[in-house]
Amino acid sequence: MAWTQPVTWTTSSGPSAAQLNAQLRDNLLSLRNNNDWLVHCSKSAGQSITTAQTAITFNVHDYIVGTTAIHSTASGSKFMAPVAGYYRLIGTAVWNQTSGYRQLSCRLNGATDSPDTLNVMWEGAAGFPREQFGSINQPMTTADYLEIFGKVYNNTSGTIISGATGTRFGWYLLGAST
Amino acid sequence: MSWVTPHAWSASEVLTNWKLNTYIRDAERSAKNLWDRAVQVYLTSNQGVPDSEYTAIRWNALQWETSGNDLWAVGNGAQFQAPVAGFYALDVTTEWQNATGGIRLLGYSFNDVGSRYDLSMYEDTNGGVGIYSHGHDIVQMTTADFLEVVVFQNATIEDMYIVGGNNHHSRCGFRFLGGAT
Repeated sequence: MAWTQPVTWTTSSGPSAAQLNAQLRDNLLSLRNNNDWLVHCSKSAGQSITTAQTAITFNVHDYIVGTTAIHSTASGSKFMAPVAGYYRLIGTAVWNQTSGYRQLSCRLNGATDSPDTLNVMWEGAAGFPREQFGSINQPMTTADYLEIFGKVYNNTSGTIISGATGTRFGWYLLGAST
Repeated sequence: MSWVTPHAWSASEVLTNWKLNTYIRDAERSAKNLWDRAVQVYLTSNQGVPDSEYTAIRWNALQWETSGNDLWAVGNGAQFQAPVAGFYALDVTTEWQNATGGIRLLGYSFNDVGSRYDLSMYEDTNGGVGIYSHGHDIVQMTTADFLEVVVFQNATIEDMYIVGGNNHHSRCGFRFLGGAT
């Protein structure tokens, strides 16, 4: 149920049944159903990451509230802002077992190293997959997008692991700008 | 106050004080209360984590909660429960005992069955400092589903522990994001 901007009531302006249903009933339902924009993504296949900054793509929606305006599997790397507001990106990258440094960063609208690095992790000898978390709260205007980038150091490549318990990120609206 | 489906108004309906209190005042209260669901808990004392065993953290103290919290109870400290269907956010930090060797893994289980969802892993090759593990995730839950935070270490130290205390170095937040239908 979409949110309708509340009216400012005036003398002798009603309320009519239609106004009460739109302004009260439907807005209460909208408040209840909030968050209107939320998506949780994962990958159906692994992705090779090299020493170059590489955008991590997501082609599976584990769940989504709203429409694909917040994330499309067709343009899988972009977490988009369908409305202006404050958004939160959280998740975990799961790497294969090779050694070396792993870096997660994010870019706003494709700009290099903006807003910031999310996490840097050192990886030792093999034995277990490597889980690397990252999170950021970001103000966005409509049509802005964030992308997550991976990069490896000290060795030639690494692999981002797929699956429901593999690499996964959530993206949701904390609150819309007024 | 539990959620009540908003009243559908009809033409020529008479507004009475009962309707205003029930359909507006109480409906607004119930909408507000729906969002008053967030809790943060911690460990007051160290909790042992046996070597090479996935172990649920038994949180034992409330750091804060919003009014009407029904997400966590000290008598069932390991579990974070969903009182209503929707999306929930988990934010957890754990401080490990200062010890050398092995990995420190942080994750969670869902309804104590099926897959474990790992959040972060650190391999200690240097020692000498405590290790902090952090993890975040969004989880879709139906009513009565529950999560448990689990940890793992294989430093071959049987009495390794997660550090507890009133500094809240090991803590977990759980909150309702919405999405109930």
